[in-house]
Amino acid sequence: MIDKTENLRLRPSVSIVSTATENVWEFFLSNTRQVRHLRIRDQRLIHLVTQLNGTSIADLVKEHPDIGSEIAHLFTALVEWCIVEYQSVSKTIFDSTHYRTLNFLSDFIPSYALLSEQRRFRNSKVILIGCGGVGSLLADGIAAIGVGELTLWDPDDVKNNNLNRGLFTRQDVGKSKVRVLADRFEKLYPDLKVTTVTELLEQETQISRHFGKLGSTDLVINAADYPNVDVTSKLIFPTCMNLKIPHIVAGGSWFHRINAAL
Amino acid sequence: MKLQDDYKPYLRDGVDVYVDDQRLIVTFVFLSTRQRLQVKAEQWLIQLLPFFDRVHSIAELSHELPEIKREKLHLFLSYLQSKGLLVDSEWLRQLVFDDEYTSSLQRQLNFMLDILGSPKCVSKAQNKIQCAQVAIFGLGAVGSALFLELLQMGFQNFVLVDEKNLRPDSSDRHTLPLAIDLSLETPTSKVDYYEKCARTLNKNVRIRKEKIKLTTGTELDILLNKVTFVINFADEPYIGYTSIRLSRYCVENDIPMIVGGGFDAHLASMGELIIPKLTPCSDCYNSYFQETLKNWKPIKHAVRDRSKGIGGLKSMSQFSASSVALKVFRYFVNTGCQATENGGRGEFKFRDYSIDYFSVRRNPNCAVCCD
Repeated sequence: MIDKTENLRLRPSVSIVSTATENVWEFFLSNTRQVRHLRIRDQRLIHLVTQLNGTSIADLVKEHPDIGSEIAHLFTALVEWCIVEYQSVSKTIFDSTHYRTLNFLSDFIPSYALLSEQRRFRNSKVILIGCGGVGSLLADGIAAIGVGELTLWDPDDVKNNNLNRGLFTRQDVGKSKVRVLADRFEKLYPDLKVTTVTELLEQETQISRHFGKLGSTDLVINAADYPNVDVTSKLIFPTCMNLKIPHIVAGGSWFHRINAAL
Repeated sequence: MKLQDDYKPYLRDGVDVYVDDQRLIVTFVFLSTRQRLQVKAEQWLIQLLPFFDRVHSIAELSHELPEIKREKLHLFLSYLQSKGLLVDSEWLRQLVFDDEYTSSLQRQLNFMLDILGSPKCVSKAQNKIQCAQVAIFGLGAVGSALFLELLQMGFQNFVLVDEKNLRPDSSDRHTLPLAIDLSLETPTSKVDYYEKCARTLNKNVRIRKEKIKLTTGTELDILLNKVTFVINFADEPYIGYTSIRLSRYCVENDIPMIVGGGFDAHLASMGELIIPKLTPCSDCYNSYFQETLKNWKPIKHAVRDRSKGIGGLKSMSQFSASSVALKVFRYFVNTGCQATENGGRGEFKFRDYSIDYFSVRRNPNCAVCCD
């Protein structure tokens, strides 16, 4: 819910461009390259938007009582559409080492909800099954966006022929893949809790057993292709469906080297 | 070349075989590249396929066959060999590279065999990769991720150009394979850190470190001495400027170049390959964008310092880096695909998970790349 007394500013990653159509303005959200067109007939309104850098809706309404309802309507919409943001939240973003991620999320999450959504991220649990060429990079990408708990599942040790893909180095050869990643993430992402599983996935019951240990799981990702991704998916799929846990079958498996996600 | 009778044909790993018994069509599917090859063959030849197992020699396979069928078998085997389906089972060991290099690249070499068809061509292409001298300008989130990918492809001679240090927020987007203290109290230069990473991937890597910023005064003749491929991720003052500076030099000196992607407002873009006199150069791109975007003029922004107001995700940087890595790979493997020669840029759109791609052609009036 929008607080009209919060000071607002135009988001730094948003550009405003006039278009060939009279009174139609383009708002370009550059992080995600989304475009929104708005018809704003009153030039005073567009002037207020382009100059916005630390004024609340309440103050704007007070300063321009003759267009007060239009201001309230427009600026409320601009917050909802992630075009302007709370200045207080922008300060939090500025001071955070995760400012890149927070700014990116701000293309989707209105400013008033951003920090609570970030907390939800921090409380979320993800299970990643398969930590090879694709899985290890995936694990790093997931860890970097700030999830709270990541379970890494892979029975294999790093081999020399793993070095042309993924996150492993020569120093890691002979060590457990999940252990290598867990050690690395512990230093890099101190707020992340990492658990590891080194069992070979062979039975559906293994999945439910680990879900039981975790209490709840928000997302499961399958990047395991041994013996092949169809077999591992069949082991993972039923439990996820039963427990209504969203799951992703990752790409890059045998026969699907360069696909994105299925 | 006629195959010897003691030759033991071996249908290589990584190829699935499907047989249509009705129409006598065999489909070979290369699992790495998803390419398919369909062959119509006589039934008795199809029945011999399971025996191309490096156990049975041609003499054993053909000892009961009449002369005419023996000749057909030889022709069939020669054809399969020319398509890279039959290889020596020890072909990887016979390559000219050292064992550690070959074993770390085993998957890639098999992938290349799918594309190139023969161990000899694979060896030649990988040798080009191994001997290339690659300069990378800018080791930000995308440039450093690309550097690691190129190392993993077997490139081992680099010039790394970046004057900056890693920062506490680098963990958000940089790929950091080695433990590092990112605090400001113990600054680590990007080129030092990534040189260290490189040594953990390939002990034979050779790196020249240049802790400088590309400016108008930079002596490119010295900086790019012996360099055979240039990759630009330097976005200060902005990518258009650094790219034009480098592209003019590269076109004049016939050095291929890539302008990377992944910049602010192009967080998951796919980069542009510039092959002198063949593809558009940076000046061509510049005139293309000047024309295309002539009416797109953003209003002056109310926020003056926008530096920490821009977003980005590690996975988007990885996406950009990987798309450039594939372009580099395609260039060196020289698949002859038209896509390596056409100009253009792709942009991954996060919202609908699609890729926008637009083509750019050489500007016939370009003062830099057109005669």
